[in-house]
Amino acid sequence: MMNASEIPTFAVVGHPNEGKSSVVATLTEDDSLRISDFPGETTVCSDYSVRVDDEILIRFLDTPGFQHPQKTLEWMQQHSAQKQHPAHAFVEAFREDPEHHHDVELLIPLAAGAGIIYVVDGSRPMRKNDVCEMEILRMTGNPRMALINPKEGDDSFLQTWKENCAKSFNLTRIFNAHHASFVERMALFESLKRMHQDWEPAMLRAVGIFECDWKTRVSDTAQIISDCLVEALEFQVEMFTEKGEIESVSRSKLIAQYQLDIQSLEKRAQSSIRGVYRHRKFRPTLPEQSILAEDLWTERSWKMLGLSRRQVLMAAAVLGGGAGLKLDILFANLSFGMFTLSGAALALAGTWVKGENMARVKVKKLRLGRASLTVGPNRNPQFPFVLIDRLLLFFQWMIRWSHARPDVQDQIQSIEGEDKAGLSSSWTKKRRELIYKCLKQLKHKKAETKAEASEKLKAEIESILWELSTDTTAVSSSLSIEK
Amino acid sequence: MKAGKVKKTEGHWSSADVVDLEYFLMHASSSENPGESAQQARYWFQQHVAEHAGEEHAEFPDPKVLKAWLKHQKKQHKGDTPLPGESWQWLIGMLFWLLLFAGLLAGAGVTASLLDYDGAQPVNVAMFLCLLVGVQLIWSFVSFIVIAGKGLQWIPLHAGFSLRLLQSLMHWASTRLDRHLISKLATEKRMVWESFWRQLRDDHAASGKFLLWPILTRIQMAGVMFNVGVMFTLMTSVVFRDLAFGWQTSMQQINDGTVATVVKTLSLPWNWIWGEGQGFPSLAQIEGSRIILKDGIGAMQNPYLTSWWPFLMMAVAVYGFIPRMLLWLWLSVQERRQVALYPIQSASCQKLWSRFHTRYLHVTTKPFDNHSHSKDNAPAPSLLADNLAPTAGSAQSTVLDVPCWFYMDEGLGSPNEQSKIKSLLSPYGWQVKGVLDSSPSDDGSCFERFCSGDCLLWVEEAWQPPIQEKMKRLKACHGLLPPGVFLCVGLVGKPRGVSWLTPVRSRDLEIWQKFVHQNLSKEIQVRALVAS
Repeated sequence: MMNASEIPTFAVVGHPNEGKSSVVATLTEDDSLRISDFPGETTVCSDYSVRVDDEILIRFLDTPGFQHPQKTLEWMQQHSAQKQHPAHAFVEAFREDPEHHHDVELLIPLAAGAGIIYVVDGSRPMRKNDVCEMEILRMTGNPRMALINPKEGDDSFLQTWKENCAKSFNLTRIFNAHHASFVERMALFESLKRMHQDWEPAMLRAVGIFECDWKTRVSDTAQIISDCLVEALEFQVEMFTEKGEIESVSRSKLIAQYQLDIQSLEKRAQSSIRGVYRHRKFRPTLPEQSILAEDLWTERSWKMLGLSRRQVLMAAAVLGGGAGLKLDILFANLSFGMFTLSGAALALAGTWVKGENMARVKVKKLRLGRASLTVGPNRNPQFPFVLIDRLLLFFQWMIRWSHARPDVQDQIQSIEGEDKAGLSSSWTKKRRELIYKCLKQLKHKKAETKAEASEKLKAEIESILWELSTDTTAVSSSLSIEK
Repeated sequence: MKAGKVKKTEGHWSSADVVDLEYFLMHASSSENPGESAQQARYWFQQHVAEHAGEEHAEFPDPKVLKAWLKHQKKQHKGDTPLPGESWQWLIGMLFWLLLFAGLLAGAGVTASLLDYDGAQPVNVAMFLCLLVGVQLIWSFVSFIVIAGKGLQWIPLHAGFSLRLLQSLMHWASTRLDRHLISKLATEKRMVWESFWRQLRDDHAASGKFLLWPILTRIQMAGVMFNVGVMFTLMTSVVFRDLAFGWQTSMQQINDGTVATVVKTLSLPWNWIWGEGQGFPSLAQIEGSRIILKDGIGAMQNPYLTSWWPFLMMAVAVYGFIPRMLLWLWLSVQERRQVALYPIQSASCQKLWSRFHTRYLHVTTKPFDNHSHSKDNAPAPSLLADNLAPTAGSAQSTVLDVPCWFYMDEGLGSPNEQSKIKSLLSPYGWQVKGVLDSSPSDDGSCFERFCSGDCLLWVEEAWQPPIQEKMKRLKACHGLLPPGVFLCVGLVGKPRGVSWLTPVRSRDLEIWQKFVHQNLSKEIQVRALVAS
């Protein structure tokens, strides 16, 4: 295990209410940090250690904001002749002064040699206090990086910030703690690696571990989604009654029970995904206009999500044609492709008919005057695609939901209009057909076929999730300026 | 637990253990926080195994370690419902006893019926042999072919009548269990159980990895007991009843010699112990026990009529009991083997094993420990006693209807020209009497121009958080004010282009009001300069 000096330690400092705690929460994926828009909420320096098992990889120190930037700078400038580290000297001089408690708490980690991550809100103008703060940090001589966190998305002051930060910091990055994706976080860690040469091996290792952990999480999520699909496709509600009482059983109630149970399955999967992405303390609330806020069974969900009718029919025809082709090959093509054509036509017709079917109540008469009523399994070809779309949208939302903003709602997937707007409709033809085939095989009676299909489905979902989570378009907003 | 203790837990894996392990793994993967269960698994592994035995990543899971983990999980299990392994154990236990008694009773019943003798007609030996030995011999042979075929994968495991029968049995049992036990559980729990049973029924029973063998073993036990029932009934009937055995035929081709040859051939396995006349009937005994209905039983000699029972007993034992017993033993070995292979081969165990070896990434929080500089570890003073509920939107401006002296603390483009300020603020209702060039907190010289009833309008940018340094300056200024003059903090919003006179967010106004009133004085007014 590393000793303390080898562990990269970063003090996140700045003016009050600039989003320091948000940056720490996002970097550590810890939603237990108290984040408030009220200035001065952080009163002590707290250590957030990122650990792998019991070993500390990186330490982030959340500090209170500067309360006396001008006075602190004046004091440091007056005492700059001292050989002592300026932060250390300040702490020594003011540690008994309750008025300077916040400034002392802020400077303690700097006196201990921590790297500096100076957080500024890039959506506001720069003021005299900011200049003082930057000068204080420059005077400490610690490795330092400026993190421009545009809290309100206004970029009219960004250029001024970048130019001024470049004068006092080794590195400047734009990092929106409320919208940072995995790729952006990794890019930031890569930058931290360059802050201090001694920390480079440890940071390199940490980045490797973070990436590995992310892969595991993506794989776990793929398993959750795949399991949910397998279960939902086989799910049925069964009720036993006397033969004479069949008519008195409320069929609509049975269908409602089936729909509720499927929704429970979806909720359970969502809840597991939420756990995988460590949103433990706060349950993110869905915006009202989100398609996810709507019930799985609403007409709008089915209209907006899943594949288009044409896409479903095409996938079915390809699968049916493929089966027929095998027969044609078996007959050395003496059948002149008749099996391929027939297979495609049959699959088309079957899917056309099933396309309109939802789960219905089926009555089965048993012996001894008993009967069973069952709803499901749902054979509608759109059903799994609607469910996949909803779970993928949920995943997308989870990875973008910042650990730093439990009280902020984001505008996600506000879908309007009549066209398909889920993710599945934009998949490539090859991917659509592969998933369609897997879903079809999941209904197979043979356990080995089912298991194989389930594995293939999981692998394909994993690659979709990986693509979604490493979407590089999100990084385009990041900027790295090296001195 | 020490490493040695993990070793001590080494024991046989039972099918109930497998069911429980599957249940725990499924429960963990469907829980709200799978990360937490992964952490727990990793933590357990580190604490109980890696710490003592090192963390060498073996390719295949170690059954001993998995068993120890399972034991730990069982200890941790809380809840009003029994573990599915217990239910499974109960189910196969019941099946065992049910089939045991059913086999015994069936054997005894069939034998008792065949040994029905009222002094008129002897028991038909051929019928006895056909039904109790011939049928069993064929059954055993077919069973052996099917089971060996499945074991050696000649026959696909999902095929076959017996398996469909087993699946139906499982379905029946789980439906009963569902109706009587699971349906009473809370929805979430119920769904986990239902899903678990479905998984067992559809996947594992069909693939026959471990649930098939315990059931097949118990079915073979019924076969063994059937033979025990046959032999027991035959023996007791011979001892306590007057029985007569004979054979009959209408075919001319079958004579005493033919029967003697067949009997001698069938008795080959034991005739080296009990020879002719003892272990199997001699030619004379066969001749003497032939039934000719027109002659009646009176013509037959008694010793010949009873000479068949040792042969029948040995035929049942050798061709019924022993093959069944061998099949049962073979199935028991297979059952153990399959269950023993489960921790090494199953996907879920591989997953758990991988969890054990996947380093767990997490965050711990504590106060920064380098507090040698700090005076003590007393709680830090909060800048406010209590917090504010968040509000959204822009603040309403409340103009002071008194002459104001304007002072802008810092950097709003230095618009401190008197005429410009007056013209800017008058449309909003502010009466600007004059503009101060220097900070009124430095000294009180600027206040000489003030009259009683005047107001010092100290303008601040509301979006800048009110820090202590700023509060100190306001406090100093407030202390220097002449009598009758009051201080008002006028707030402006974020500058838009060249305009600094912008509306203030309600939240910023609230923060400033609360800050100023709690840290300075309630006499100081805090207002937004312009309306939204």
